Amino acid sequence: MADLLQISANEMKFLVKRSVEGLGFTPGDQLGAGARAAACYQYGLANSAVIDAALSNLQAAVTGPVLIDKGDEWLFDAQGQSALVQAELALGAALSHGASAVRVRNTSQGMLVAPVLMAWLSKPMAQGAVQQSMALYFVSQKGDQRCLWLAANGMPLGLYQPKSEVVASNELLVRVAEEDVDAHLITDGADLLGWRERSLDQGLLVDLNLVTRLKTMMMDSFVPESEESRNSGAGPS
Amino acid sequence: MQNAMLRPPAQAMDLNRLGAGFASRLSFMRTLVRHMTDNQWRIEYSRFNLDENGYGHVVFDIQSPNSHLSFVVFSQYLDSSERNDRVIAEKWDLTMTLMEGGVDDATLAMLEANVPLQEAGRIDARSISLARANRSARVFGEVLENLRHGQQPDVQRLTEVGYLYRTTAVYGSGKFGSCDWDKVVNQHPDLARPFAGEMLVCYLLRQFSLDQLHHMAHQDAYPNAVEMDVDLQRYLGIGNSTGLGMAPWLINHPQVIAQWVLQRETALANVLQTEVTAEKISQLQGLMSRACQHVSEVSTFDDWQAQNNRVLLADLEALNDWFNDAASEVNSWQQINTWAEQNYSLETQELLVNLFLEMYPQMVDSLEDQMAAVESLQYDPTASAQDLADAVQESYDWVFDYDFSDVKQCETFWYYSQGKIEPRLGKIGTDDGAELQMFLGIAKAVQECHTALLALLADDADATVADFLLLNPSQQAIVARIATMSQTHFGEIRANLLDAGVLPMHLLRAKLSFFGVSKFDPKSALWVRNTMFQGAPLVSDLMADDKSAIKEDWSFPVAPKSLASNAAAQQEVTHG
Repeated sequence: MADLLQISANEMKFLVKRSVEGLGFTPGDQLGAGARAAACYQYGLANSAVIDAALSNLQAAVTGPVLIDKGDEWLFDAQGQSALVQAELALGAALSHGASAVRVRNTSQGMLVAPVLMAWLSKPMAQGAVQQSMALYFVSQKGDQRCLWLAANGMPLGLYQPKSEVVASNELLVRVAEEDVDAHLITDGADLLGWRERSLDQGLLVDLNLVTRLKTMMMDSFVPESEESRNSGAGPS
Repeated sequence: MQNAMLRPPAQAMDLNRLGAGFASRLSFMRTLVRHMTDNQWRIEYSRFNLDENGYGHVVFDIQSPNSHLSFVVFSQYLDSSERNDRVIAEKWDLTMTLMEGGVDDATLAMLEANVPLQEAGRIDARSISLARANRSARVFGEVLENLRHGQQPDVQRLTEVGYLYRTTAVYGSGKFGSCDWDKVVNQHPDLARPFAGEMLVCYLLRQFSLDQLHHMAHQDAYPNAVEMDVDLQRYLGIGNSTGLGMAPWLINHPQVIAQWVLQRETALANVLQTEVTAEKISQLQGLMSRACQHVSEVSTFDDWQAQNNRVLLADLEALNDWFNDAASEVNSWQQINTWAEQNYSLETQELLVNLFLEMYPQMVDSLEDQMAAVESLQYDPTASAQDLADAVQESYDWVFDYDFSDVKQCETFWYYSQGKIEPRLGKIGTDDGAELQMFLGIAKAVQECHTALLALLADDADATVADFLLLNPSQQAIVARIATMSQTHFGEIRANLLDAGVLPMHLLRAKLSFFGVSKFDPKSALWVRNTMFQGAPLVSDLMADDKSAIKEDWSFPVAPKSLASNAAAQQEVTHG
């Protein structure tokens, strides 16, 4: 069993943000990555393996998803980028034009986009028609089909296992106004919220190897020491 | 009451003005003490294990209406050569944590192995705050020797310093394994105001500093030792040394700052509408007099701050003379406020604002419950790009005052060093690391975003925010910021942090004034010393059945007047 370290959600945010910054991503990607890693961990939608894989799948040279098709289901190519960053650009663009379904292919760790949808739905949107229940389909880290069903106010209704394949292993899919999901319930919304409460109460238990990796990665976002720099710091030396 | 007129954002959010702020009734220290007093918090030691040199540990047991908390302090020997207030320090005189629940032996052992290490250790989600402090090398030994030999300390000496220990860092919000702010909000409502946990740490640290001092004074070798005069104890606060780290915080938490300013400005607007009476003018003069004495007792070698203090004293003297000659001509507080804005320094203006608030607690105090903000900078992807561009024009018009083609206006960059992640400033073209600078150039980023928005709208007038971001993904952070902050009344702090002449001191003071500190003593443009809780009631005052010793208004503390004669009398008795 891996050694675990208890950290706060705020630390998770900081570590992931800084690690993504160290790879050269923009401030929006940095902030988004930190916030969604922490939120998914709090809800039990992500664990250390998910965050670790999402970091490994980051593509620093990719600046955003590419629109492939605007049919009934809008289709984007994430160009290999994990959903830790940028996937929301595709979802937002499709939803803002009334798409009822958005599929992003060539991505990974699709569960990480869930906090973005929750946040969007939690506040009134300019286009009220978009403000409906949403189902986020993705593939778990173990390769199982999953569906996170969200109410129109962004609250989680439950995590499900679809009865048939809805997304390929490198895809995520959002369906708007999903009135029912053809799936087995894994855990309901109250459990997800309860998980978050427990995470707040006790902190996040994270694989020590992931923490070590994040701390190493984030060093690339800090400026190396020099005597001159050290002397310019604030305070008496 | 009619709808009160708030000061415009251009005025209230101007960094120079924010950097001239003072503590007020809404400052977090005042709020905390009010709540501890009104809600009869119980604070006592459950462990007091210090040796004759003051080294060891203590545990305060704290019972508030909704929480049982513990405050654990570790005291260790620190060679003077190791005493350093900067983030890069690795050892301190005192280290401490505020945590929920009681402290058993196992917990104490865990804390003892970690808290003294600070960043290098780990605490867990039972802890709310982690902090450290260094002894005032100048004063502690002198005061201790005085007390041990039956003498009261030199008031003038204490006036110059004002504390026995100064904090060099007080961490909360999940740092180093401590609990997240959301947990505090959910489970500890008595601390669910901005920085209430951190302020409690500083308040109890101040009490510890006095108790440790007395413990060390009253050793067997010093049979004539005396207690420090209780008024002098109240006059001592806890020192604080604040550097650059606080500055990025203000820019990274714009919703919080906007909320703080909104409450203060609401209070001011309400007060400015009230009727002026001779009694209130007299009260204001009394407050001004105390503030003058307080400022005149501030010890600083900083020329800029010293000059500000001199101007403030002259302004207040002029205003007081005018009140004495023509108080009957005062029609409204607005008249005084306008006069001050036209004739006095920013510091004088902001001091008067806070004195106005001091006179009307019934209009002000309830606003303290509105100080907290739920933070989330986010955009609505379905909003129109045109609306976003309009929001820039309406709420961020001030960013167009800057010309970023002028290299001087974007010469400064802010960064973190790899060593202990210390925030520092650099100059582009001179210092290394500009490519790793923090995202603090808000004005520049808004200008660039606006330019890109107009370019898109020229091609597609119906574009959505999401369309814009798909084409301009690097704009996500600033779009979320504009979309969120344009919905607030006061919006952003108005300043260009990239300017060659940026003064971080203004940012530090802005935040510290909301904390409630006093006696700003800048040590450079990058860091400042100040005092916290000077004049506040002692824990023994809070615990007393008779609360008459508690001064509700302990702002602008001044040195006790009668101590010189008290000390002389006490010496006669002691030696008699």
